[in-house]
Amino acid sequence: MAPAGTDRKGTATGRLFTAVVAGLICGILAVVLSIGAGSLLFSLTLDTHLAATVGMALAATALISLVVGLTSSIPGAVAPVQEVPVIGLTAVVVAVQSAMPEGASHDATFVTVVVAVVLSTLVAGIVAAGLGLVRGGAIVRFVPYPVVGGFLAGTGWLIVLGGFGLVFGHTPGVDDIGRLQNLSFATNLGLTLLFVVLLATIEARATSSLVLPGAILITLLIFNLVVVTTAIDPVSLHDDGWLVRVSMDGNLWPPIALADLAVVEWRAVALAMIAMPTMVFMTVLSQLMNDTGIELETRADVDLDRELRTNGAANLLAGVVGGMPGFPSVSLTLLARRLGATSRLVGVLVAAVAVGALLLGSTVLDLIPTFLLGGMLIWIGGGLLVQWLFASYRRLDRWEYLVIVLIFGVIVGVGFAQGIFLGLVAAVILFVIQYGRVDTMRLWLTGRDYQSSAAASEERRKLLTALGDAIVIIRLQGFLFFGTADRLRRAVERYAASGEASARFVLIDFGRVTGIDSSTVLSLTRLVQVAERDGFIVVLSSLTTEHGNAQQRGGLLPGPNLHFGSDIDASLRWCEDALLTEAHPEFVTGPRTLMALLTGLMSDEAMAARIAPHFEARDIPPDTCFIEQGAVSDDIFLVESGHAAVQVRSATGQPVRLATIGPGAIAGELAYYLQTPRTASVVSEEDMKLWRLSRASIDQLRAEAPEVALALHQAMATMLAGRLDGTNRVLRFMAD
Amino acid sequence: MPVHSLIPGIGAGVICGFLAIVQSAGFGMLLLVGESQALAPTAIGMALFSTAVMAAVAALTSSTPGVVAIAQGIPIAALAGPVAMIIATTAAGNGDEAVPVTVVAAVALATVIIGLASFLIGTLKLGRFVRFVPFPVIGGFLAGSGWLILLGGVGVVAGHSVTAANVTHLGDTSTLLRFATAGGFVLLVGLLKLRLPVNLVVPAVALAAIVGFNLVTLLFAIDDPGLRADGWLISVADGQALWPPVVPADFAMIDWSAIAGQLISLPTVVILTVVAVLMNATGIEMETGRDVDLDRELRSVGLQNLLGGAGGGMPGFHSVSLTILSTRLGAANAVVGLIASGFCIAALVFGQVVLSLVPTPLLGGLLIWVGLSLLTAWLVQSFSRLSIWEYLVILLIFLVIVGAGFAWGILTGLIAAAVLFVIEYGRIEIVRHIMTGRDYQSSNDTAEGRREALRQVGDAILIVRLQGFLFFGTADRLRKSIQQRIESHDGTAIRYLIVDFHRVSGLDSSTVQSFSRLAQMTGPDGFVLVLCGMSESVRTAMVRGGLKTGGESHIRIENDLDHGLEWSENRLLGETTPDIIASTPVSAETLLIEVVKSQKLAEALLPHLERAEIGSGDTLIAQGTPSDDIYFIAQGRAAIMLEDEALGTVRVATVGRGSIVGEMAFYLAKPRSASVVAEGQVVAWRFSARSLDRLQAVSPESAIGFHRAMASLLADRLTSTNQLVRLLAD
Repeated sequence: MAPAGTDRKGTATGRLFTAVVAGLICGILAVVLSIGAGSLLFSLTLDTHLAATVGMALAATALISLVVGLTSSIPGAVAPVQEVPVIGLTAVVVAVQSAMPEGASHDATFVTVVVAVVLSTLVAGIVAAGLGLVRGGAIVRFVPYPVVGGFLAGTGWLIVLGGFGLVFGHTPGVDDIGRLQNLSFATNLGLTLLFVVLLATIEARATSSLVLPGAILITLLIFNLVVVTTAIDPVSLHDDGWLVRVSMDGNLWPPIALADLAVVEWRAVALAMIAMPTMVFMTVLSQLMNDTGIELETRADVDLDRELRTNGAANLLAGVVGGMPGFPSVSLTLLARRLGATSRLVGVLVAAVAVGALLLGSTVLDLIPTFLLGGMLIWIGGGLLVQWLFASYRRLDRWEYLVIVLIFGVIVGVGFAQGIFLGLVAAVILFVIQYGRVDTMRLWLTGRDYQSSAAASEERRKLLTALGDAIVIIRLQGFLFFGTADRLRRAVERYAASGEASARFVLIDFGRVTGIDSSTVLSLTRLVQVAERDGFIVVLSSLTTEHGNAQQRGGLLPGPNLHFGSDIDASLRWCEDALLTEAHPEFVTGPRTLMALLTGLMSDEAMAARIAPHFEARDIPPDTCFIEQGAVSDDIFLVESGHAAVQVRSATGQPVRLATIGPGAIAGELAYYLQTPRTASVVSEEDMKLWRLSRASIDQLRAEAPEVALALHQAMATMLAGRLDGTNRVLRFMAD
Repeated sequence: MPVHSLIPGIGAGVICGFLAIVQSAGFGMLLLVGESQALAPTAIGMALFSTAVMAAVAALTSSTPGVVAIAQGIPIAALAGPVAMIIATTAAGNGDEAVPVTVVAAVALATVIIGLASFLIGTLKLGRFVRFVPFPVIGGFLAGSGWLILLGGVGVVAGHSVTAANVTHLGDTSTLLRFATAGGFVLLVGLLKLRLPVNLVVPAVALAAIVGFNLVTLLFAIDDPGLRADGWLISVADGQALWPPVVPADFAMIDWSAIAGQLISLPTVVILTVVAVLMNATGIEMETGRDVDLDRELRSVGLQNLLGGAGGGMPGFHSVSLTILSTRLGAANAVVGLIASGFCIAALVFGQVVLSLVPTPLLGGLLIWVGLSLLTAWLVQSFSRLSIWEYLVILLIFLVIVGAGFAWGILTGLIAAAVLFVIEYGRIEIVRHIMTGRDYQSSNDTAEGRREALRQVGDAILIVRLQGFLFFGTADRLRKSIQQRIESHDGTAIRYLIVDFHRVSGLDSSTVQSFSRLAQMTGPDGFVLVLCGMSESVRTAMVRGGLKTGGESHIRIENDLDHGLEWSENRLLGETTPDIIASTPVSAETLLIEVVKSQKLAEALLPHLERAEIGSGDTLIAQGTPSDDIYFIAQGRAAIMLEDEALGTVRVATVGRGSIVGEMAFYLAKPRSASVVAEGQVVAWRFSARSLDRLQAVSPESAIGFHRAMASLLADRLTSTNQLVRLLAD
């Protein structure tokens, strides 16, 4: 089924014609709905003032349709008085009646009730407008798609029921089967169904947007012609259900005169306000749901806050004329849009029809037969049912579809509010289950593949490549919660139990973890227990303050088997240092000589011996910047002992640490080759011994011993290629 | 079994056995609320029987040596509500004489079903699913159980269950004295616990209290009947045995319909028992430092309850305190449980004697202590350990359990925990990076000036990289932030919107809906939507949800960000600067000058280069082969392909005129790390290791220049790669 849309555009006259037909039909239906809503309000208690209450509803419909029709961000929106707020108002009415003093007259009670209803409507308007002003409409945006779908399916069901109700004269039931023997009723019902088929066929086949309203108009004309020519008695038409049966005798409007305000029982009004918040809440919420539903069906871009503001203003006006709240109706708005009318004229015409009904009474309704009105509603409601109970099956995931069916079932069987609430709960649980299945372990690698930035020295890198399997690095991602928390622990336990566990360190990086809950902390606590048992060390890195707080609160404190590192690089370096201290103490603590370093770099002792004299020793005290970002300098440094931090100034001027370099590392070679200013600063962390090789020395070397210079450049190119290779691998890990 | 482990086993068994009797008796009385204390001996007998069976079965089947299992307060307290209903219905329908047998039948049935369920869960290895229960929900259950146990304890001391209506009846001297004694016991235990961080305080104080009580009664020659009448001892009718609770002849009187009416509450008790088993297993795990096989423990608990229930017992499982006690006493073997079991059997036989040894204030005080410690752990201490919202979930569950019952508490708690998570997750930033084609470019580097041109016009490409799970809580915010970015974009209009789903782990239909709405903005006047890096499931959801691609559509799906970006760049450049896309051949000399930045050096190198020409699809370099040459590409373009075990063959980059390939492996003397495959006719110049040797011999100066040039090139690449790593690491 094609969505009701604006894709079929016609001429200006055509659009006018469509809008007039849509306005007329929607107007009549709005009048019928208003009469229903008005009767509903007082059906329990105040049947003596039925005409006046129907008048209140009609006046409100006229005003709200006009205002909303002209200002809404959904062109063609039809906003009559609605059933939901009226149900809420019933509680207010009952409260007023029970609070009236003994022996109060019917009229005094009625006047008091009207005042209470008006007050409630005004408050509903103010609250809606206020919510729109503070941009509160966005809350409804969090309603999951399947829930809106279920809401529309339920609405569709009720619209279909309403359509049949028009033809049957009451809500259809099993008893109505017997009535099919009545020829007139059976004909009317048959015509209704035929009309639905006609509408559906035309919508599917017609190429012009005028065919649909045209067909409706022709049906209307034929019916009235038949009635006039055959001179059927209008009374019998009402009795047989061909025309809408309502009694609207008596004074329709205004419900009360200003003078009546003297008899208002204000205490009862005040007491009745207890029931008001519920009604206001229901009104605002169902308006938002209706707006969202219409938005979804018409694909219009609805500004919910604007809707709340203008609709709130409309309800304020409706309150002033003694009405009840209203907002865009899903059925009528979709009807207008499916007839092809997107003009603001529709709202104006609906208002005009409502005013006409106020002035002329129920004769307005005699123009249009019930099979046409009912058929239209069945067509709209049926469309919603098809869309959301059948077409959505293919478009949605199976579980999401089941959420729609669940909501639909509950709405049909129990009620709207329960259906929506259950749907929300189901959607939330569905998401939690689906998210719980997402793998939070993004990367699982060992210290052989991935090394800390301290591995800038060749020697360290070679040693670590041999030892690296003892470090298992797990990078987590996403949100760790009760659905995912325990899987991590089990995965590590399985790994530890798998036999190939030479792992000494399990480094868990939280850098991409967006949040953790207390269940996660529990799992980690258990993991540390496993670590104590199996003799490995858990290292947690990149815990932000927020995660960290949760951990500390949960009682996870550093110990012999648990270490916290600030980031993955620092944590990895901590593990590597521990491993190296154990396996190669001479590497960590043992003395190094320039010759040893150069031999390592150049893989050629003779060349190393020839180049060594060109290096010049430098002792650096702690916290000294020996390479400054932005400085023009092209010395190359070789670190013999001590560690230094490589850092850049961030945009805010704060230094950001990029890496740590230690014995065996080469620094400053990039700026030398690129002949650019230094791209980062290097600051010593402790006493350091460096060897410096200046550009002048290299130039001198080139002139005096070209073969040594050649070997140096070749060694440097090889070193750079090795580092690039490592960085590329890291890049692949990160980009993945 | 060696003798040296037998002796501590016997010692621990004796101590644990006596404590097990006292604890079971107290827990057994939890079953009875309201004016049904007449059934107390029956309940105590059932509990003792259960403990006798469970201690023995656990000793033989558990994975934890030295484990002691007893009838337990949590499931018994949860059964108290249904039992009260059964008592009321039965008494009304079948008369008072049918009550005991019906209660026993109901409890035994529940125990058997709990046993069956635990055994099944353990056999099907479903124990791990219990670990999915959110932590605050477990906390809430335990706080609720603590409350019920506390109330039960007060009832045991008072001699009847305490309600708001009869709380004023507690004023008589004897009752007050009993409460004072129980309160003193609780206070003493609490104070000692604060001072001595050991788990043995409760058993030690309980033993001391029993000895003290019996010494006092002996010294002052107070007789048992008097104590019973005053409620200091549990009264047992003369000649009534503690076990069996009923005789088979009474079976006919069982009111099965009353039992059936309460079956609905069984699932809650089962869940509660399984969760409590988990909690206790975790507690034992933490204390003993031994890993517990949860499924095996569940099977063991299942057997315990099956056998216990068959003999008319009550539900139970491992006791944390007794197991720890036996472990601390150095008795990590099955002897402990067997001896404890023997003690309980003895208590069943000599019921009168045993019951007259233990005063009710001690039984009640023990229960009050257990209840209070659960309440403090989960309502007080958890406050500082959990986030405020998680704490509120615990509080909510607790209140619902107290007000409406366990089942509602569990349900509310699960929903609250799920909603809490969804709200928390909904607040997470799902846009990982948002950047323009000016900042971030595709790996296509086939034409000179391409990057420069993109720096000029790249703002027309908007790249949005997403992460996480996209769902209704984030869907609309995502659409809005993209829309805002598009509308607020000053100067250049967005022509290409590239959305990278590589890090997206899943999405729901609300998200698809948001993208459909975004897709409405595409078209000739709007932008082209390029979706990249979608996993199979994400792509299916998108297409099924009605996102149309191909044909007239302005939506395009690409495998990865690089391809999507390259496609957009090509289209954009095709409109703005078409000549960048078209490539013109270039001579080897011009090419070399571009690379080495010196005409002299280029001239020296030129004679050492060989021309290579390959057609489309041919391989210039094959991954894994030994490498000793470098290629300078003069014309055409080639793809660098990486064959990966996990990912298959992936295009890593595209190279073209002016690119150098193979230089890294050349220096590192490693096999080729990737293949280079021609896309169309490619002309390249080859420089081999042999050429280098020749060059070195003829002109060392040129060789130095070559190495320097290559080192500069590598340094340049290293710098830009480092930058990219830094960008991605943010």
